[in-house]
Amino acid sequence: MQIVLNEMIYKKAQIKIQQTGSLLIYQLSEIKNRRGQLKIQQMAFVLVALMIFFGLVSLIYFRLRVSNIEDSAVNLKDEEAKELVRKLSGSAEFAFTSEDCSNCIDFDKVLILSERKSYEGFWNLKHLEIQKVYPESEGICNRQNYPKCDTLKIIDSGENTGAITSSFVSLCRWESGKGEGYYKCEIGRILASGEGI
Amino acid sequence: MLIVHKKKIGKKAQEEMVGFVLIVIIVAIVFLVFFGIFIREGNETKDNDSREIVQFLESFERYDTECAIGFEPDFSNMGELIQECFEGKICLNGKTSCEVLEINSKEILEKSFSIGELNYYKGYEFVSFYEEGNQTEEIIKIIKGNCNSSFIGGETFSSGDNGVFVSNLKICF
Repeated sequence: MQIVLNEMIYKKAQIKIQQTGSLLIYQLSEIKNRRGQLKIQQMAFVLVALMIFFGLVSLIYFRLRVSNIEDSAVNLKDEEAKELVRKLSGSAEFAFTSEDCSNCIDFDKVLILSERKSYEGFWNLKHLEIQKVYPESEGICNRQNYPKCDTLKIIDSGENTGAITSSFVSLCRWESGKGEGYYKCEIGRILASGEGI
Repeated sequence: MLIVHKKKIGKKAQEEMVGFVLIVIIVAIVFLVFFGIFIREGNETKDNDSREIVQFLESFERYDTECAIGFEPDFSNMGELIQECFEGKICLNGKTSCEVLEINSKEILEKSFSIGELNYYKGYEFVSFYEEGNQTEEIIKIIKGNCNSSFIGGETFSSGDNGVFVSNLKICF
């Protein structure tokens, strides 16, 4: 009887030990699981942070690139407009042909041209004028005050013309003052604006 | 048991440190690449040769002055006057060619580019010199305003007896 009792106590004790052991194993595995979860969370946070960082860096980079491209587009358009104005000074209607000069405008010829209304839509421009830079003078040019004038308006639509592009030119004309007369070149600017530019 | 536990902790700490260093290295590389691109774009050599300035110099040299050396109305233009100033010639009106050149150059530049602290153009430098081989001789130099910042410029050349006359204009903004 005593042996049976002892065996029962022993078995109970064994069961208890087993129960405690499995509980410990369970608790340990739970702790490990929690740590694993924490690690996964940590990694996820780092990945998200890295993604945000790369996103921000690429955003700044592309913003700068786009602004640079925009700037160069504006510069190119500006250069193209200036080139068109230069080309204009070399056209047959403006060119000074008495001497070999690619940059010279025949001021006498342009004065006559400004009086012809048929040329207003010829260049697809809203505004086209020639300004004398040096020597300084005043007034809008016409047959009465020419050449002692400052500005010669060839096309003047009167409306808002937008950005004006200009280029330096030589304004050459026949000066009949001293003796037999001679060609005199002065410094001027050609200014243009409109759809053609 | 305690040693094994300590070793495990040490290994984990090492892993964490390696991870941290790796992230720092990645971020640093990204920053370096970004910074490199940024600097390279900023340092791109700007084309300072301006067609507009060259065009101005061409018009400048074509300008007919009141100085005639041989007879009137054979008036010298600014380009010819630079050469005549170098040769020390005197105009028929009694003024020296250098005097006429300087007065006209100053006035033309003054009227063509308005210089000022509040203006777009901050200054200019105009130099004309004769170059023969390695030797150069300055004919005229006009400086106005502040020319330490960025600039655009242009040059024109005309041939002399054995060398070349160079006119150089730098507009600073």
